[in-house]
Amino acid sequence: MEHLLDQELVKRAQAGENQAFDILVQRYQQKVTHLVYRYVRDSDVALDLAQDIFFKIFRNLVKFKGESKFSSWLFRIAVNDCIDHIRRKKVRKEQSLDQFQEFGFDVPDPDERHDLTAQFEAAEERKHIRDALADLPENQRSVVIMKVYQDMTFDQIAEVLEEPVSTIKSRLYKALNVLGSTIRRDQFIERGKI
Amino acid sequence: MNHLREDQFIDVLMGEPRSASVDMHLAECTACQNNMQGLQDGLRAARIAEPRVPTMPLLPIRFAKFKRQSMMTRLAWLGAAAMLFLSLLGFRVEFSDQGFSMAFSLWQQPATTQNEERIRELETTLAIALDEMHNMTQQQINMGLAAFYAERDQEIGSFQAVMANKFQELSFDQAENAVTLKQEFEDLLRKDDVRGKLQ
Repeated sequence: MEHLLDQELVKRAQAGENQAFDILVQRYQQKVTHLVYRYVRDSDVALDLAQDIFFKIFRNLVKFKGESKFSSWLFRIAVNDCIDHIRRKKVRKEQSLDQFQEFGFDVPDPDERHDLTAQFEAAEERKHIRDALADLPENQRSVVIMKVYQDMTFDQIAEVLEEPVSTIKSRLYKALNVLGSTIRRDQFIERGKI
Repeated sequence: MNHLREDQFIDVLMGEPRSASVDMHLAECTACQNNMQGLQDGLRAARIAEPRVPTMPLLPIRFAKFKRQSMMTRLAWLGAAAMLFLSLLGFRVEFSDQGFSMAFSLWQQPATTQNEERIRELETTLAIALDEMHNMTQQQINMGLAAFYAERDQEIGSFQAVMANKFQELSFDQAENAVTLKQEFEDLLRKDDVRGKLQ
């Protein structure tokens, strides 16, 4: 059954075939988890959120009519859930005195710690850029994540976000302009110190 | 040719298919070259900031597990809704370690126009809620219950403490009983004589 296209697997899963759904999960779980991680930057949260996303897919699969590709529908739900999660996290942060895990600051995963020296060297620059990335409007940040990090095509992104390709490109243009200004400003300040 | 549009800059930057005239213009136009340099810096910045995805052991996600999870949520919610409705309608619901028991209490009280109207409103609200449950997210259900609590507090304050605690204690074992209750509740809705007796 592994060789079947998504469309056929979805039909079988809708009819209650356990294995068809399980294959869809196997096919997309890693991609979804990586996408989620790139939004939330916390592996535990990413794993939990990915599981919630697949549960949502499971519950709503019968309503999926195939008007878009299954993968687009799945990623749309994933992106929306990530954005919701970040919004809730921002609200909680604002309400809490515990500001230690500031949004945009990358709390290193245990797996990353072996590379702390290298991280330290570029940490300041990366933090500024990550702050700038986190401050981008959600729709621009989503395009950066999907295009630059997930290497999705513009057509795929357009289908996921339900926007024309030209709009997606325009958002990427604006986002990269902001990030370009950030890195140039950082380098200018750095040179000024020297 | 006019300066490049935003989408044309992105086509060049990301290596997308484009017309030769775009590249020709870029080769000759200093303003567009400067603009392109800014975008290249932006792309470099984005890549510097790219979070390295750590190795994550993927959680086991299976159809069968989700089916059980879904059924449990559904049964628990249905059971809770049915018990709340029955409580409001006049059942007295009591809980113990063994589960719960019910008895009518409203029958002993004189019905008034006010509480009859209130019961009818609640009856409609809950019937709709049960009907649409499949389409509701957990958040929507919580919001619906919150609104319901608020209404109930105004009219029947005495239920508040007991029901709030017992909702949380509702277990899967009780949910099976709750399904039966739901059936009974639906049967009750169909019986015109319930309203007749209340009047």
